[in-house]
Amino acid sequence: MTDLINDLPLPIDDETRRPVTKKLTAGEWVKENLFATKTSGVFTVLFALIFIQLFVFNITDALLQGEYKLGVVTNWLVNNEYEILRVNLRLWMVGRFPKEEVWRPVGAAWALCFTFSLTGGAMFESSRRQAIEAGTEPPESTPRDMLRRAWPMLALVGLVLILTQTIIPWVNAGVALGLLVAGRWIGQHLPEFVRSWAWWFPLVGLCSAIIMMQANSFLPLLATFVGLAVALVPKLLGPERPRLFRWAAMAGAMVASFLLASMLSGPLNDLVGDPGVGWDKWGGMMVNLLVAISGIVIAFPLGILLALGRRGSRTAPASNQTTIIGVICAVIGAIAFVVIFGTGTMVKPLGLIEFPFAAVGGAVIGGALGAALSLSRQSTTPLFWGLSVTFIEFIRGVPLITLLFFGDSMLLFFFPKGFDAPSQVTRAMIVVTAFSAAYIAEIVRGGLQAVDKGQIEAAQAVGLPFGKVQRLIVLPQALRAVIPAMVGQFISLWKDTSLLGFISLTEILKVSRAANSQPDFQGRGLQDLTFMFVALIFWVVSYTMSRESQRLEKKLRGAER
Amino acid sequence: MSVEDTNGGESAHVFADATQAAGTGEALITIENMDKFFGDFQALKDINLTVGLQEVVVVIGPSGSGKSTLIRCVNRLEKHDAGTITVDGVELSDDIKNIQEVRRETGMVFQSFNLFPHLTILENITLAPREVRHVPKAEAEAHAMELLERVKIPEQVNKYPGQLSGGQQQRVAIARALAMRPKVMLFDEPTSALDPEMINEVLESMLELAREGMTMVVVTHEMGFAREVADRVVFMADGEIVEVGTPEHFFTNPQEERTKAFLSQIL
Ligand SMILES: Nc1ncnc2c1ncn2[C@@H]1O[C@H](COP(=O)(O)OP(=O)(O)OP(=O)(O)O)[C@@H](O)[C@H]1O
Ligand SMILES: [Mg+2]
Repeated sequence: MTDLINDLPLPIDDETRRPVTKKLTAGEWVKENLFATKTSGVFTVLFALIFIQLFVFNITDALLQGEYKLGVVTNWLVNNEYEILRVNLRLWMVGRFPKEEVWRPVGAAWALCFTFSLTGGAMFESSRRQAIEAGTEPPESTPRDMLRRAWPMLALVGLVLILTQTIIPWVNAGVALGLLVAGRWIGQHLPEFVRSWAWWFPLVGLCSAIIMMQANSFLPLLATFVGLAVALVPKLLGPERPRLFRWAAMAGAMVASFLLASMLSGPLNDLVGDPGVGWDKWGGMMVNLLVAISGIVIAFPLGILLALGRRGSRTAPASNQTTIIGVICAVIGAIAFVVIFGTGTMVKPLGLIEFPFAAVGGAVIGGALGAALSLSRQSTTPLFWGLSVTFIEFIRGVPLITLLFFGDSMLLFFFPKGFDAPSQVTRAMIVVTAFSAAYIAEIVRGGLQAVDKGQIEAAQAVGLPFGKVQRLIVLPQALRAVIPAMVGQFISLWKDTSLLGFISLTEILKVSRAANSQPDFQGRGLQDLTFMFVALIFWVVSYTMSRESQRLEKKLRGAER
Repeated sequence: MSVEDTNGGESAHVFADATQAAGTGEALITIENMDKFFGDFQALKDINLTVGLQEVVVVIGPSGSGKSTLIRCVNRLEKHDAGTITVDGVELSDDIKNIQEVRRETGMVFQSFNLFPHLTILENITLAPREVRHVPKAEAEAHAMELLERVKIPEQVNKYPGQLSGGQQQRVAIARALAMRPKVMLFDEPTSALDPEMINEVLESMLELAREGMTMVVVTHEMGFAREVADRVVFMADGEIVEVGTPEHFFTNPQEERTKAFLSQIL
């Protein structure tokens, strides 16, 4: 080849350079960090003055005068008044959940602790092995790292334990900690075959937690998971089987086990006679967590669907047939969703009349979501696009508190006669989930737009069908790009659960106001203390989410560089 | 129309007919009377071109002449508006099945690589065979390693695209396209985004591919490559195929004024 330039050796420099850190003396540290430049010196002095005025003067003043000038400090710091926290601790944690049933949430928490840490350990071990095999630096996880990640949570648990009046919570927490550690260790030492199915454990944990909370009213849900497990068998047996066969097997197993369990759940319930405690009776932190988690976990796929639906209009035109299928699937899915929520499936056992509805509905949900997702290019019809846009813009245009009031009173309207109206907690969950989905949709849409068009073309060029292009190429990149925004949304959703008090759910902020109006504590200026306690709970969870998201980002960025 | 003049029956002053495939003589891609519009703007005008099995066709022409659009129509990244495109006996239409079939048989290499940044090199290459052709994992990975050997970067297999040089990335892109065992490879200026010292390594890989008998359509400004490897050179301007010929004919004895003008600019 005459014209070609000779190959030049490539300078490859993989070495990462770290800034050299040296030990500074106190004087050097002050100079370098507080008075590095003239401007920074001025600001240092300014902030110091403000700090002294705000805190030191005011506080010493208050202490010296012994007045309730700064209730925060004088009352509970000086007079040692933590009784309000002690007495109402159970109210903050579980609300009016019956005392003799508290073993249920405890058992559920144990199940979740164990299974999640099991998976965490297994996934960590897998990525470690992978890194070793690939010859890259394996990830490390020392107890110190774990402590650094978990200290806010541990501190909160510690505080709550100190406030308890009996030994039982200590035992419970001890067992939970033991399960966490044991789960992690076992997860790391599982045989490879089991490890590769580790994502399955949290589902099992979730199911057992739900069952524990509500006895057999959740059997159908459990059965769906069991069906899924059964359906995975053909996948395990032979990846060479035709896809249609695998899908049919999966769907069949799910539907069959769902139906079977639904039918059994009525008689079973008569047999056991103890359906557990429906979440309409939940309160305290449990209700904050429940609503926030549903607002994250359920809203996430919904938000993605909405985002795809809204974006659809600009891609290729659809054929009528696929459009119709897509719309029908979506509508059926939505109805099924409402039916599932609406029949008290989740608050009481299914009756013989309701179960076929719930069963069919439940079987359809997964299919409908999947179909709508894979057909969302065909959501290009104005109808689907219009639905998405209307929904998103309506929800985003109205304050959450208004939606909550609306949901509290008006939502009952949409449920057909003959079904039990969903409980107040369920209605709050529906509203918060819808609210969250709308915001997630807009965040995801931003991420979708950030994905280079070349990525889609490359994926199409290698022959990936539309659904897989979205699922394997576009969404992973889009979602990675929006992790900070997404976690920000989750955090504000978590904090927004404090609004639930306005529709008379006993979430933690409401509890603290209730506690302050108890005869024993009324008018004693303990609001600051209780609000601070509530703030701490909100902060610990928010901060943990924020830190974990940064970790995740760093990990992903490290991989791609 | 000048296309008529050059490609029609009276091909006295044309060395090779656009519709007369070289290679084994068996046609793999047939484009007939194809038009392409972007809104009101006609990007391609009455294109007729046949690419034979095992033939290497190099497409050259000034910027904006429609080279990219032409090869992007072949695997339906762009939809053509009139005429027919047939790839390995399958005619491209709105039928998604046909489109998928054609895409499975054509590999494409882009100017900007377009590797999937969130996947490792190995995953980039094995993704399509596993997801589209349902090749078992082990088999797909073995094939990927073979391909990486061929483009001479097996040691990069577990890295991410962002950790590779441009030339290495483009060679991975070639391996990724080959992993689907395509019948024809389309290249859209594969070396234009590369630093000069990396161009060669990519051209080497392409040359080797051509020697192994791969059917290729290459849009490039690398005249050395065209001269060396092409069976036929297609010159495009203003959305038309102006002249088609063997490299010899093309570089020594161009017929059309526009060809001469273009060649005098770049040579
Ligand atoms: N998506 C598009 N929308 C509108 N016009 C387009 C689009 N893509 C290409 N064109 C126009 O079509 C014509 C041909 O474009 P094309 O990219 O095929 O040229 P090219 O020969 O590949 O040029 P280059 O050498 O610069 O890559 C250009 O005038 C371009 O502006
Ligand atoms: Mg181009």
